[in-house]
Amino acid sequence: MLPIREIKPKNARTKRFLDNKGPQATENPRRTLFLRYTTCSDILQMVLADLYALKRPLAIKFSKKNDIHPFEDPSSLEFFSEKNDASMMVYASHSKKRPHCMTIVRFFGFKVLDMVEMNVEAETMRTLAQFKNAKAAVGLKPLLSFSGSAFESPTPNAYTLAKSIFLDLFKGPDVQNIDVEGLQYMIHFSVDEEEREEVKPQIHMRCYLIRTKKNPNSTTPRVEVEEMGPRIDFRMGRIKEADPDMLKEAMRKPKSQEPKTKKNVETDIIGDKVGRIHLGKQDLSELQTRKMKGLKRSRDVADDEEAFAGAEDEVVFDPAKRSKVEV
Amino acid sequence: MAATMEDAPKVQAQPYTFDLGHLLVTDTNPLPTLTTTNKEAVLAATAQACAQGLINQLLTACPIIRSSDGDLQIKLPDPTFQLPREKPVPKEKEKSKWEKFAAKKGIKAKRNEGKLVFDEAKGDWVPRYGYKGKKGDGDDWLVEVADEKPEKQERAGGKPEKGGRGAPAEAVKNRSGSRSGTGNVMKRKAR
Repeated sequence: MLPIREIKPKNARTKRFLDNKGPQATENPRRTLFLRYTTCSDILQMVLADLYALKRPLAIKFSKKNDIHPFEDPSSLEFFSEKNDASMMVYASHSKKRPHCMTIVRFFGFKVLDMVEMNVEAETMRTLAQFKNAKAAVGLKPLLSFSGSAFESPTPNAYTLAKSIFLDLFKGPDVQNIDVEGLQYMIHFSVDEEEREEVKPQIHMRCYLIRTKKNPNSTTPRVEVEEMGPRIDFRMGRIKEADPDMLKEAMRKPKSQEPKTKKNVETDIIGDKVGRIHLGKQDLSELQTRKMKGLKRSRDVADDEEAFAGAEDEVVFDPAKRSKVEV
Repeated sequence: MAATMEDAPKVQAQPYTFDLGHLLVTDTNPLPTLTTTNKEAVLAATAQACAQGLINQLLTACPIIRSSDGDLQIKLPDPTFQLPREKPVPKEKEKSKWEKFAAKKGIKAKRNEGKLVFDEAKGDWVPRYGYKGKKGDGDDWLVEVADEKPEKQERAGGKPEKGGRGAPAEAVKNRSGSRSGTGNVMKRKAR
């Protein structure tokens, strides 16, 4: 694939577009690209459509078939990522060896960071349309929950990577404040306990609408969940972990975001702002005492004698001068 | 020897961990074994417990404010679970020649004070310049002619020197243009 031409902006609008696409201190939320392989099962196409509906409007869906093998050659995917400014990708394929296979790819700087491949269980899959109830509004931030010990394993494994990727995929934009009415739905991921060595436990993804009922006993409401779909069970496949250097670069935080603490300024327990001034060491032998009137009133005899001595000198001088003038 | 029921340790339910910046709750308790009959019920129950815990935590730990539209909003803390960025951290922009000079000399940028200024005499806001401005209301429009200053008479003859100082404008623009990194941004039409 040809690399993308570097466009030099000719007007303010294109410059703004390129600045938005380029690196920024506070980033835009990730856009997801949904695409498919030359063979793709119906079930997987429904899954793709449902996930696209959940991720709207931060999502793009391609309809053409692409002959790409993500684990062998991701260059084509990187090109799509750069062209569409999409840093997350969901790639669906179907083959005898890997049936109903969905690969989620995460990008950093338009290059592949990490990938996780999962197979969808055909029998247990249920689409959004199959649950006959009202759905949550488009574009809301979902509540996310992960259940099961595999997600929190101390050593990074396929499940910790899957948790990170799912979180990145579904969390939506980062906000400071959220409307109480905006907490409408929850996506729940659970992983079975590992029973046998060879069989990898499945990940269950369920989406529920949150209904709150008034609780007469306490101030917090009683929460009820109602499944709204889609309902997907995943079997883990291959993973591609991130290159450590790339990951280190990706985890860096820009300097401007750290809070600036002023040195030598502290706040008391009471809440008063207290500052500290550092003076250098004072050389007491160099202290100017002659210009300090307060010190003259002291009982220090040496000083008084000096003052007299100075006065006498003046007296002696004047007659000598006067005598000269007279002559 | 066979272990009796009393010897089997009771597994304590582990508390949930919350990351309210992401609206995330993590439940490390192992999932009970699922059979085909009870699977959905068990999952729904686990989800309900997680949701209840998260909502309780959100409503108790985060301050609730009323927005300007009259809606109740919750102020979320910063997220704790760090996720990788999508693009690299932007490079620090190199300071331009003026910025370096100003920093060295301690020159601060002029603040825009706005068009209106409070006039004590009138007790009201008047424009800083122009019509009905602060500078002069026309009280002192009558000025007496002073003796002609010698500079004025000299200048009448020759014209003041134009240009010839410093580098021509094009060269200066090219020097600072290389720093900004864009090509033909808003280039004025060549006359």
